[in-house]
Amino acid sequence: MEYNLGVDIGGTFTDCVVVDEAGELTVGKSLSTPDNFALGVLNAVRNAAEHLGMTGEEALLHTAKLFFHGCTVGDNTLLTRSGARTGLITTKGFADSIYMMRGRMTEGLTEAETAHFYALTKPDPLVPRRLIGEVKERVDYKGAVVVPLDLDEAAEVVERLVAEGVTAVAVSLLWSISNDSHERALEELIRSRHPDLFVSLSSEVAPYLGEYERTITTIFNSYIGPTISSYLSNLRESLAAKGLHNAPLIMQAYGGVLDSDACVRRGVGLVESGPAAGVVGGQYFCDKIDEPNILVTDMGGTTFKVGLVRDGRIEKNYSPVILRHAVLATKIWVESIGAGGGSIGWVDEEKGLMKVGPQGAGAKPGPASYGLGGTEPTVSDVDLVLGYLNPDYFLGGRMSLDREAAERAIREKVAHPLGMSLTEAASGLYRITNAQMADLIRRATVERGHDPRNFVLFVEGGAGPVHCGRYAAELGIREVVVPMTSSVHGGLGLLASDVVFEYGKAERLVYPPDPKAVNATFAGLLDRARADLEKMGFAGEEIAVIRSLDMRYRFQCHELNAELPPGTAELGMEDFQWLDQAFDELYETSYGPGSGYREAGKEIITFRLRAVGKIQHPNIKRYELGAADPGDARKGRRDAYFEQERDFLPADIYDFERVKPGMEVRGAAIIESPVTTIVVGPGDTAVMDEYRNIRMHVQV
Amino acid sequence: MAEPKLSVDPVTFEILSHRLYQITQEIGTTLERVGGTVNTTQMRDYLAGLYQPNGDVLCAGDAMAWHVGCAGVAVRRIIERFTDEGGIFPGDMFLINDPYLAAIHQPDMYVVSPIHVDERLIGWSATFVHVADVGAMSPGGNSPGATEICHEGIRIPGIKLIERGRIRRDVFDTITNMTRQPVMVGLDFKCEIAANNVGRARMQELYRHYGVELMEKVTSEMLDHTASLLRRRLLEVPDGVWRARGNIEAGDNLWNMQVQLTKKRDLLTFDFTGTDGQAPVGINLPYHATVGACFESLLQTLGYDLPKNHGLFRVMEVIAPEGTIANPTYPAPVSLNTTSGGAVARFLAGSTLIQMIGTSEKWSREVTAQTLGTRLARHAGVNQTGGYYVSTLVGLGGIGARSWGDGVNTAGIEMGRPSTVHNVEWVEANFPLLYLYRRHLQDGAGAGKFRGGAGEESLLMTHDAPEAKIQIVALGVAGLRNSGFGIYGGHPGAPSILVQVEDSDVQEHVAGGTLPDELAEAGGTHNLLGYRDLRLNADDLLYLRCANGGGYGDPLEREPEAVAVDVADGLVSREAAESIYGVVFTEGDGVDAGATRERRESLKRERQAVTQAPELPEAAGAGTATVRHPLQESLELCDLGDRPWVRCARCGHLLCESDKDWREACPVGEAPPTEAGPLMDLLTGQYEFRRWYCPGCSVLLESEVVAAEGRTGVGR
Repeated sequence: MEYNLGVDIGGTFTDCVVVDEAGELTVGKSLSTPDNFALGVLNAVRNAAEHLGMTGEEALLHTAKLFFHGCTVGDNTLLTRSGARTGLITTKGFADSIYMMRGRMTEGLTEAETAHFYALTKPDPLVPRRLIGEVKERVDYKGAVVVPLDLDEAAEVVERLVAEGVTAVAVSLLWSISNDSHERALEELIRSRHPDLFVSLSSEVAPYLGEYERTITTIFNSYIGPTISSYLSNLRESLAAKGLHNAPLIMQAYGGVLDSDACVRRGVGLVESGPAAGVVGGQYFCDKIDEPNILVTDMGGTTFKVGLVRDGRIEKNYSPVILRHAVLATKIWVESIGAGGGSIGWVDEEKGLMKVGPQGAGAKPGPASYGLGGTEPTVSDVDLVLGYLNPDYFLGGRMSLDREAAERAIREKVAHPLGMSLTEAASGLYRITNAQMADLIRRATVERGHDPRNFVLFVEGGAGPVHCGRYAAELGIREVVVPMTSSVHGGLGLLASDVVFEYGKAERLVYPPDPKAVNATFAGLLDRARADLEKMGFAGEEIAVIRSLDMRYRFQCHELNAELPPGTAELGMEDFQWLDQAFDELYETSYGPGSGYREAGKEIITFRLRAVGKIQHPNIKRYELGAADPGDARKGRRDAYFEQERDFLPADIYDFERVKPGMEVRGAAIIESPVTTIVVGPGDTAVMDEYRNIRMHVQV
Repeated sequence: MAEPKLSVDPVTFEILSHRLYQITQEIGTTLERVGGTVNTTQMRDYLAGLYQPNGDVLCAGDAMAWHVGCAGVAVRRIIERFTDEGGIFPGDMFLINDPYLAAIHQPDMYVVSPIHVDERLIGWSATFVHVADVGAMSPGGNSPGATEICHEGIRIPGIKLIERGRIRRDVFDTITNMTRQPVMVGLDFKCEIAANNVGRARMQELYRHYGVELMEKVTSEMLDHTASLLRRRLLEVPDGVWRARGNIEAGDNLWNMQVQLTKKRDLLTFDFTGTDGQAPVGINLPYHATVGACFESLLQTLGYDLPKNHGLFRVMEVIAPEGTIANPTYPAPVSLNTTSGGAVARFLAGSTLIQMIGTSEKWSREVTAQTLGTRLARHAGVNQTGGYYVSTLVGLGGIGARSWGDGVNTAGIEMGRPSTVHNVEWVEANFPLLYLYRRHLQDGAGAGKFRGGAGEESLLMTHDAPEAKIQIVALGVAGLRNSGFGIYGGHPGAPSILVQVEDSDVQEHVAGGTLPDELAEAGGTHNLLGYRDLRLNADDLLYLRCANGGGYGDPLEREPEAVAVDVADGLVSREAAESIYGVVFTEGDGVDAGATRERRESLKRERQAVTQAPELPEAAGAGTATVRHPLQESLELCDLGDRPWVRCARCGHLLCESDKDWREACPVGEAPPTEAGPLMDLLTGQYEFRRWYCPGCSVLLESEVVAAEGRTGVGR
């Protein structure tokens, strides 16, 4: 038997999802080990091996065909600011660009933080001013050299930075996207003098218009590059030593995997790859169940995240915000708010209002009911007091919850100050939490021109299934899917991934463009793509290419990415006629009817090419659908609060492990699994499908 | 028990408050996405608001608080004008930009839309954007040459742009046809229409979902709730009277604007009496905009975390005599007012409110040095792809220092709300311009215990301009006192300026393989620009220096290590570090602690020598005084016997009884403006730098740049 492994490092747990040739899934789990993540990886693999009846991780790794990996090393290095001492070389007169930040100082802040204008600050820079070297050179928008590069002066700049102790350098010059010769010359200069320095060029890392974002992206890349490099080589050696034949494939935030060499060159692509894997997993499942439009939500301990799949395509973000900076690195679009199981409920005494989050109780002390010293009421405490969570079967009984402590916290911190009963306070916190999540989803859909009612809600994360019925109802969403892999969905996303390289080039062409110019640019990108994929062993039919263009109406500032028909055929005038109309439609779908201004004309800003090396994935196992009666899976009954009735009702309790495909559970009911709790409201129904997902039909 | 008590349940209240806020966000996002001008997409020079059926503000989004009340006035004007004749029907949208009725100046085109649920009027949505052009004397709608409003373009008292859901082609085309850029203005209208459609649809969904009656109850309670919160906050602040004055420069003339803020219990009165008469240049600010300026400042100080609704208006009244700059009448021109009369009004309201909260133990943390305004420029002409364009060149200014830390460098365009500027590459890709540099200004930020935020300086030339020239309209807040003001002894920021360099040496530099690093190296003739239309030719350069934040507190109290970081970051020169901050460096970059201590002591001794402190009445029993509340960073109000006295919070020195001006009890230093900072040299001869010190410990209590003798307002 051959296996594929997907190992995903999370904040608390490292998951290992294994799929065999028959499509059977096995899950291993272990605590993450931040001091040496490779350790947690091996532990999770060992745990999965045990579930498969093997002894030790070697047995599983020996028989492993592909090893997919999602890691947080990029995120951690940035968050703890433990990356390389990084220098920046930039065009004379523009060193302050990364501090000026185009004034975008509210990126990544909450609404409340943004509103307090006089308290705003900018993020602490990763590169202090003394580690920036300006070089004499200037290129204009066409790529013409206005001032030639002074290499002698540049050599002095490099020596000064080295003397300051930098071990990594970012090179980012104005208009290097139109003419990269000065950046190349600097790279050569640095490599010839100091071959050990880690060097990133902006024209390679982020070949897109906009010097602030491009420079920041290049700095991030250099800052985390050395750490990523040593992490991956260490992991590779540990796994090889335990018998893994093939090198691990690493998940990128744009959704796709790369080998470690390619990954190290563009380490910035690793940042926030965790949530991306979840969305890829969601898309994979929805493909199986024929749902083209899904909202992938993930409610964890501290945050609630939303990703979007529309017409079977995952929505991307071409300029995401990382560490309060906008960067130019394609990422699966995921938006989040601070609302999770650990979010704290509180009262704004001055205003007399009830609030939830964004502060969370964290892992320690955690919710009051965990008994680890927490005294603040959290969403998990609310879920317990309202009867949704089973105090004796939390995490499958591995942990028991203290209901009295939860009640005390809610009573003291929320109910008393507002003059409410315990139930009023708890149900109020529950409603506010759900409303916040609904507001985020609303923002994620309606502000992009979509109607949430046309989507299926896909629910990941341990805390999500307690709440999803209610936020779905508030949005008018009827269909909810709680996947059987709900709590390890990132791992499944890894197993469903292909090798993906992304290429881009900023080039401005007024529409309709000369087809020759467009074909020439795409041909250049395609050559690079073929070379990279062939190096990894892909050929012929295994390679798929998707070309797209970032376009906009002239004078408008907002670009949209328009995909061209698949393949690599040369483009002709008729393609641009088609695209002309397709773009108008895309714009109106995204920004609303009447928003496009055709009379202004269009222009192309950026060329993009996505090259996929297709991997043969085993099909997930399908089960026969059986009888609808869930009687055998019922294990009891308890009272739980249901907003629909504004009261506690007796709810049937089901054991997920005993629910069989085809069984139908009618609310009010609660389905308990070792990793999550699914609340089915009165009037709602839940059916287990042929993949063992719970499909919930919500009354709206 | 939490107060004030709500009659609606707090959960529903919280959920609906956020929903309304989110709707305004969505309206704003639609404006940004569909709109095309720099003002809309970068400066957030727009409004996205929701109103009650009578025009009271229900919820205003994040952008441009100044316009919030003006749009409410616009709603009322439409109700007055159309209720009997013309009618207000579901699906209508109205356009209005008459500054004498509701707007601030003509380029700010308001679109207001009634919202009906089942034929019942449940509220209004309103937007404005600064449209690309209004067919006035100068492109872009700000006309330095206008002497009456008829020179300033289209003036619409209210017209139906959309009638029962259908666009009125005649109206749309007639108005866009009167502008230089029908396509861009059409796009501006389109973004407003799209945004109002969004606002209306969301409001209808919300009111249907929760029921009109519940919504009417909750929304009216929201306004009451906000008003009662603000009232309670006001009661936490001592009563008092505070004053501020500011100048507006246009051409060779100087106008004076002034305000007196009186706070009595929970009511604020802003009185602009004493402000100069209206001017024959477009600096005049309509009354509703003067009210809006006070509203915005109140929101930023005591109300930053409160919902932006009409409740905030209930605690304030604004007095501005008719026929003045703060309340002009026909035919006074107004097109420059957002960056002149308006900027000064906001600055004055902000300054008095900051002085007020500085006396409150609880609120003094919010004290921030205020900025009057910054320069910017319109540029227009034929670009490198052969099309005619009009756009705005903006840069980033620094925020003033705060009571707890430095101001933010290059924080935004105007210092009252978040805003962004384009990348150099974006500007150069779209317009025939090339930046020689764009960076933080050295020695521009106001010195203080906490330093102001540094502003941007940029030098540009035309590049690939097919006509070998472009047109520039020098705009923004003109005058040499336009930048950041220091507070509690903090020094002012360097003025924001625009300089035209005629016949520069730039081509010789390029031929030699370099570009000028400094304005001084560029050669040519340098013209400091006021409000002006001009041509930028092939060898000319344009220099833009943005506003710099003022400092907070005595510069000699700044941590020497913080000064060393500023020097390393290029924000402060070594010379200024030594002369202003009294920080001495060792051979390397390190602070010489001993020499710094000595230097600071000697600077303090010099302070005592400047003038003789006046004779003071003997204050018996000084040691028994008890503090009532702070007055500022280094002064406090205390009770001594049965009288309130002002004393130094640093050394306990008693200055005077509180009904007297404490400045009269202090030694005062008079010096040339360059003592405030080397870049104040432009003010030499016209202004002087005055400083008041504590007679006891010499701490700097207040500094001010004042017009030298003989330079006074022309308006009276």
